[in-house]
Amino acid sequence: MGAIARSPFAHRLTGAGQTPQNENVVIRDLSTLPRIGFKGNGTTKWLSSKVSAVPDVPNKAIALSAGSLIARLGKEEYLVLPDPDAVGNVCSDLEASWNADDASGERRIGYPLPRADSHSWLHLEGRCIAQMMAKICGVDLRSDRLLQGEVVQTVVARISAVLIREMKDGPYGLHMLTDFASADYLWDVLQDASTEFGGGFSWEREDLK
Amino acid sequence: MKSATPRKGLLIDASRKLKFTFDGREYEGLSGDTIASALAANREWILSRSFKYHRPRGILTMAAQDANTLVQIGNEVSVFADRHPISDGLTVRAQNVGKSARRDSGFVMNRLSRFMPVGFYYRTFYKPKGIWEKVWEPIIRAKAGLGKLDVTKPTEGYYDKAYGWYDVVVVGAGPAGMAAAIAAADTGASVLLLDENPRIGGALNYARLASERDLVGEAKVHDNIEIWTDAICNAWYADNWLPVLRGNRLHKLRAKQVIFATGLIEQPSQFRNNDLPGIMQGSAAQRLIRLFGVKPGNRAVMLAANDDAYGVALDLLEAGVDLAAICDLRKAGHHGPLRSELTQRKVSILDGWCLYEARPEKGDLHVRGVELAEIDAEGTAGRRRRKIDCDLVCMSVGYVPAYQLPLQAGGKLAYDDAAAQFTIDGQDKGVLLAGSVDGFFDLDDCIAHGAVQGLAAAINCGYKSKRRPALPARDRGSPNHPCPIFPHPKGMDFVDFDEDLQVKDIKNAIADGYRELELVKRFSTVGMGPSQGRHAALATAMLVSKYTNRTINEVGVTTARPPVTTEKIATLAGRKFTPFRQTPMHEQHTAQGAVWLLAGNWLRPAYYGHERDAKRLIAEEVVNARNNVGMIDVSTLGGLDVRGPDAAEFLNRMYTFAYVKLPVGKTRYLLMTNEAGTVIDDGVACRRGENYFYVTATTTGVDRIYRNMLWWNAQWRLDVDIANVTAAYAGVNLAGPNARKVLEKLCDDIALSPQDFPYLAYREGTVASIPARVFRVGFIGELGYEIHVPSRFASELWRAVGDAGRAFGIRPFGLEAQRLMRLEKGHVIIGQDTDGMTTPEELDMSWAVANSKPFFIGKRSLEIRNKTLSSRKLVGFVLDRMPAAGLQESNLVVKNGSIAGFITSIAFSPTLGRVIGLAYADRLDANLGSRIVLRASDGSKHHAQVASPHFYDPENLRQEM
Amino acid sequence: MRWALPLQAIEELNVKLMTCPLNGPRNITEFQCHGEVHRQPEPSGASDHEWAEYVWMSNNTAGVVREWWCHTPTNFWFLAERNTVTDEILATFPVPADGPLGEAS
Repeated sequence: MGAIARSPFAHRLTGAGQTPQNENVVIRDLSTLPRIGFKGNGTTKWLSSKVSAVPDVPNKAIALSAGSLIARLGKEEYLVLPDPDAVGNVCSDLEASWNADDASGERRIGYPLPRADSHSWLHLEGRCIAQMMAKICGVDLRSDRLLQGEVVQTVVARISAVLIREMKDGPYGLHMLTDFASADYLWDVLQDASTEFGGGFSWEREDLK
Repeated sequence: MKSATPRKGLLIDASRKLKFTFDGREYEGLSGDTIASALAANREWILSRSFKYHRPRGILTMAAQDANTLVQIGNEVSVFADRHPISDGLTVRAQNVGKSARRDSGFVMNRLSRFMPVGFYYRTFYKPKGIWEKVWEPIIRAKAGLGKLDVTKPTEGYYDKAYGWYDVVVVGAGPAGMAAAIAAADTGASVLLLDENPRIGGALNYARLASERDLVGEAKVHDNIEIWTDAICNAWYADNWLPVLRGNRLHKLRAKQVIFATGLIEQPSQFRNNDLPGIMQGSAAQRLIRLFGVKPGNRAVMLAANDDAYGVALDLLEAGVDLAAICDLRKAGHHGPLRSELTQRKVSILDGWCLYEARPEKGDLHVRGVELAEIDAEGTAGRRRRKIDCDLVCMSVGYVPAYQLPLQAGGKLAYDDAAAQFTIDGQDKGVLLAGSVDGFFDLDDCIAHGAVQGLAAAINCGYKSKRRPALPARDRGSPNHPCPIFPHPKGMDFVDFDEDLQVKDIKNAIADGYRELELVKRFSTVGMGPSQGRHAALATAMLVSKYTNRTINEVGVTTARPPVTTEKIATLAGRKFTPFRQTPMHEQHTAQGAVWLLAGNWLRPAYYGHERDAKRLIAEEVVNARNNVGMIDVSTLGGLDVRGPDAAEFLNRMYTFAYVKLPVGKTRYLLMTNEAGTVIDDGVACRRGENYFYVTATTTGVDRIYRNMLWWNAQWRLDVDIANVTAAYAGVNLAGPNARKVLEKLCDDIALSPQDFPYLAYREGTVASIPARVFRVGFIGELGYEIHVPSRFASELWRAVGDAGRAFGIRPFGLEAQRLMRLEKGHVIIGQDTDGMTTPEELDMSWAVANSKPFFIGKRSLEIRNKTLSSRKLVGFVLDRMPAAGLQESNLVVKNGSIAGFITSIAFSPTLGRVIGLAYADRLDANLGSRIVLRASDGSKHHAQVASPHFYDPENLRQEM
Repeated sequence: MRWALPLQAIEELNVKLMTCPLNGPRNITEFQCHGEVHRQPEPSGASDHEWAEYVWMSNNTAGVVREWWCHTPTNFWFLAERNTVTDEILATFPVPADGPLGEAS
């Protein structure tokens, strides 16, 4: 495939780039990275045979090897996010594995979901993330209420969102997956909510990386 | 008067002087002053004019509870002058005045007051018909109303909202509230203590009270207590949802437990001219003295009905005010340390006397003196009188609990007629009351009660404590007078200052037959002004009880509803959260000159080019697609992946058509009816595999359809999985006679010949090296390919199709051209050409209903409905040209003077050179060639000829090429 | 631009809590009510009148009713028992294995 994946935020990531002046609210776009979902009858059983472990209850995430994570969104629904810095690709491996099993006639193994195309992916990090999110989200996301690896499926500024508390040590981090088509709207909402904390989106121009 | 010695007050900083203007005059105040306190320090007492009679009004409460102090700042109306701080250069104007609060031409209304009895508006202005709108409303609007808003100016400032979560929220940071917060926080609970004043402490800050405990200090240093001052809890909603106003932010708080320690609202006494500037609550005088270092007058008369009044009297003396007399409504026999101190100071105390009339300065600008009367055996003003000169009258005759929030929380108010006291009971289980609002009047009792309630709240949240403080006793007497109302034959004895209602107005309302309090309120408007009956509700209840011979408990008070106090629309609006969706090709459309249209919440190109050329551009887009090749972004089309062994059975139940035998690699039209048999959606089912359908749904319907599918399958439990992949797949519809030639340049792994890829077939492969789902459907009626690709690659697809088509003169077309071309083909748009009753039969789409199936949603209802067909049918119609009056969607189809139907779609077809449309018409007129009558918006009628709705290429030769 | 965004609806201030069996307690603005659970008569067996009653009539019970609710961000359907007089939500639970009314449907 020759085409290059494009982030729905791409048209906003222009100019030389931007870095917030402090570490209160730093938002990074990870939308061009792979991600995949699985859903439907048999998903839990099939996925358990492919990865080291799956979360035992919905709305929990656990770390997989190589820094990737698997979040359980329902009884039979999962979302897999790779480590942004990792080399391997757990998502394409799982997809290939599913395709092979499907082709060999295995049934009740769930169905893959095109999460890289249905959802944009942002990573929010910093001291004031919970405070900033309290302006746009009705769920208490403070660090002592939303523990590492906990998942919240809710509404952010009137659009549906999947929020996953980062499991790595370090500052408070949140993965946020929302409707791919609402990215332009969300950008303005997040910039506006972050301004009072001196925060916002952070990016560098591609060719300067 | 310029005071020689600097003012000393809890809230002010005498070293920081500020200059501001009121009604165009400049005044000097101190940092920490409110507008009202700074004006009072300058001996400027008139803050506003009353609503109806334009009487001068001044400080009544100093607690931002009454309409007297509402002023305008810039373009912000109805600001409380006794809450809003002054700042350098602040420009303040009085409201509801002609020139200024001091000189107001509207004061003539005062003389007319006897011609404006209660219910005046209702009685006077509604006859003859229309006179209200034409004559009276403009006159009254000019004289009444609060403030002037320039609606052409945008709201200044950043307004937003934020959620917040606490174990315990304590509303009111007086002694009880502070004690409650500390007790709750001691257990480990997270506590928010909030107060509307700039400092916590409540009455401790201004009243003659002293506590051994430093509650303010304790609360401030407590790790588990967050303190918000200048914060107003403006309502209580279910599950302890509290909107709190704080600056420009609306906090939406959720508390596990709420403690209302909202305290008391001091009540005025009713006597003639009780509204004059210079007549205020005792607590207002204390606030002026202690908080702002303002001497409230030079010579005062104190109206008393409780011992708090004696405290006020001593405060006045200490502030250097000459105390002419204390007029105590109670009979003799009240003793105590405060009274002893007063008698020692040789203050004259008249026991059993009332204030009968306040005498005004010229123009009613200020109180000049009072006439006192001895209370007779009937409890009314007797013959013995005494006149005293004074420029200040303070009233301390009783309180009502600040019951607004507790009542919103489900509390019920009862009145103990013997003790002259309200009690509140039965509020929501998550809500506790603490202190004086719950009937504790002694300071130590309030603190003790606060501690009990704070601990109870924490325990209710699950925190533990070994402490078990004792509940204080309740029977320590009431500071309330049973009826401090002394009507005057000449009136001006105001019950409601906001609405200028006098004792006789309430009396007359009852005489007119409005005996119930809620009716008295609606007829007289008592309690409907900005102070929402804070100072009028009890007095009104007292009067209604008196004139209807019932107890106050029987009369009750009117319902308390949110909000508690004024709030701005800007606060309620907050930030703008109106989500919209864009396709991945959005930027490319912009570059190509798209004019945008909102379809559902999607932004879609209507057409490309300048708006002034809209008609021509749309026609060109149509002609190019019909004769050559066009491309349209169809990413907004709903997309659902339906997978599983029961996928075909599931579609069979959801849709009217049959899908079990649909071969893999083929598509079939989808029509959905609801349980009533009404058409609600359509689309295309593409069979990707034996157990895998890719299903399209309408742009605006897909989210609802998806949710609906999940609901049905929660009951059917078929082995099927449904995924909404609308945003995941973006698409291009490539259409026109040259479409195949364009696609051939982009696609080498799908055989495209008509034999290999016929009409209605579904194929997968790559287009421009992007994995694609490709199917042939004919929505606009030309050879066409619907190409769906993952969203991340869709902008690349758009670019590639445009490049490949350049040699063929491809151009993008927008929604307008698409809608026009589908109309030329007679394809209905669900929601536009259908309504809440449309059946497939009315659309002539029975071909899409598989009646042989055992079940589909709507099947049973359609069987019933088809037994007696409706009188209407959707028909095509043609007109040679558009009439000058214009015809548009929703214009009526009329027959024999009745409505037979309406136009659902109408347009000039550039392809056919005539006006075509779809309309519901009488089924008897559905035959080709019948004439129907269309009624334009201006009432003119136009004949149209019924035609086949398949106006263009009825044999479908073009789309099946 | 020719389009105009619709006027922003001011958020409903009265926000109760509801406990989603999948997602826990949430503001009720995250949910949609789909009405009282009622039994669909056997379509082929029901008389026209019975069927019309089923489609068009609602019990409108004053008291505790079993209702369909959906957590909209996850499109998760579940059942709630709610008192329509007091608006108190007594219980929420997933659709039982034997159907929404507790017996095979």
